[in-house]
Amino acid sequence: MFCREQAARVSARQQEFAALGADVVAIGNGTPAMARDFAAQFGIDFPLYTDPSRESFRVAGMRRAFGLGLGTIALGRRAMAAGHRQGLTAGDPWQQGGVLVVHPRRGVIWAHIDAAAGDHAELDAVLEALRAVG
Amino acid sequence: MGQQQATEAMAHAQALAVVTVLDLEDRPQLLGQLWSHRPAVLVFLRHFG
Repeated sequence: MFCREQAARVSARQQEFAALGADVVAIGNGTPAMARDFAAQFGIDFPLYTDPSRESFRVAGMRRAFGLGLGTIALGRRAMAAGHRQGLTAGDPWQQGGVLVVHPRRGVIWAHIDAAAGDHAELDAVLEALRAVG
Repeated sequence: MGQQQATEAMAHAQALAVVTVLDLEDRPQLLGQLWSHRPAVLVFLRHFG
């Protein structure tokens, strides 16, 4: 549910990222077959990769968190109100996500490490970071 | 951004650049190639569900 919400949010803003010269890429952690199903089912219109080893998540600094806190339950209500439903989890259920902006000459210029499920990056802040580097 | 932050930002990107992920056809993709020419917004999804 949170993944669908995040994918939909990113997809809706993709042209704004493109206008600033940036590509959007998503990385999950199930099998390639799971990634194909996810892309087809939700019409993912940006490059999608997967990392079953979760090495990229570890190096990126993403967390693994256990259990659902009250904050996650509240965020779940938000996601469901927006029409996103939890499907069968395909991948590590405890792996948390986040967003990194990587620049060819400046490296990681912006990062949001999700504290818990549903704690998504503010995409306005991502766009602002891209504008700041020009 | 200070010098130390700038150095850390590049070091973090270099550590990520050598990690391999898989595309939808199970082919390896070196992460660093995704931002070799222009910035990339990497969205790490919790899972496909």
